[in-house]
Amino acid sequence: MAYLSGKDCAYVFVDSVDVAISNNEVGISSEAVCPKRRALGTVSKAAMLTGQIDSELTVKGWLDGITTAQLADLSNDPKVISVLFGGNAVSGLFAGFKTAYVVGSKVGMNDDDLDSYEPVLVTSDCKANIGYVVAPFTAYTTAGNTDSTYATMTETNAPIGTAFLNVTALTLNASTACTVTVRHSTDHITWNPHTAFPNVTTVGAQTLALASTVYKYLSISWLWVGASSGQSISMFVGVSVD
Amino acid sequence: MPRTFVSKAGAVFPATLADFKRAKAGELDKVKWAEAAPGKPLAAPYPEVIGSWLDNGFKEVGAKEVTGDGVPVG
Repeated sequence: MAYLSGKDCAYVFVDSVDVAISNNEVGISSEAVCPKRRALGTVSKAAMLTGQIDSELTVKGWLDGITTAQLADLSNDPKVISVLFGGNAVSGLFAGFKTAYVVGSKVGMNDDDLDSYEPVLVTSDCKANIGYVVAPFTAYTTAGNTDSTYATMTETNAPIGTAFLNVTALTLNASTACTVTVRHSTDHITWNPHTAFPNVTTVGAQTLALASTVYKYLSISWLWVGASSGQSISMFVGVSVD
Repeated sequence: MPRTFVSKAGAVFPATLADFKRAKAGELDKVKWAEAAPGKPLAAPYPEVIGSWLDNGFKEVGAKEVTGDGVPVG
């Protein structure tokens, strides 16, 4: 992962809305000190650190052809934002913002900036949780787990972490909820549940404190509360460790 | 006397030694998993899994806590 570009940023979830489809630029400015130079003959390190980093998120470049419904969803309520800047693949990097606000917009009406509308997203706590994609965004149906397609952290046995869950669509049928659990393993041989998100009953997003040791290998499980058939949950789960 | 262990609810592990070897080789999509009944002592189905169990929080029944020097605590 030497370079990332716009095509690698698969999704930008603001709660249950993906705004990546209507923007062309996302910026995460960070206060972290990242080593940039290496002597000849040594391997360059990835510049992006993981963990909680002082940061600010901006999403801009609102494109023509967007729907007003998507804009209307970006209210001033605090949002859970997950930026999959390393792609929608297991172990790819993402940035999670636990409490972000849409703080303003610009309407352009001159010749060069005709009828543009640019909302600005700003994190209220200026902390980004840089972590790993554990469950790529897709529709998950029959209860199961992702143990066989686990994510691998660079870290081993991190003391604590934060998990992000963005749900864009949910079909419960006769079930009453979906339970999503973060799982972990030291060796991808024996797996344990770590912590479960509060039951999901509607689209939206949650964050979850992982308040005890997080092992190197990560997966999720999901199960349906109440018997039914044809259930589906379209979701993303990422984990950042500290 | 087989060594027995207690796990957390929802813990899973490779059901057989062949599955264990597949898991270790990273062929997880071919592994058949067994789920440990929470709170009930479970005998290791094959000795190779014991190290993984201990690394992942399984507690051995009857095991005494020891210090770093191997001295029993208490």
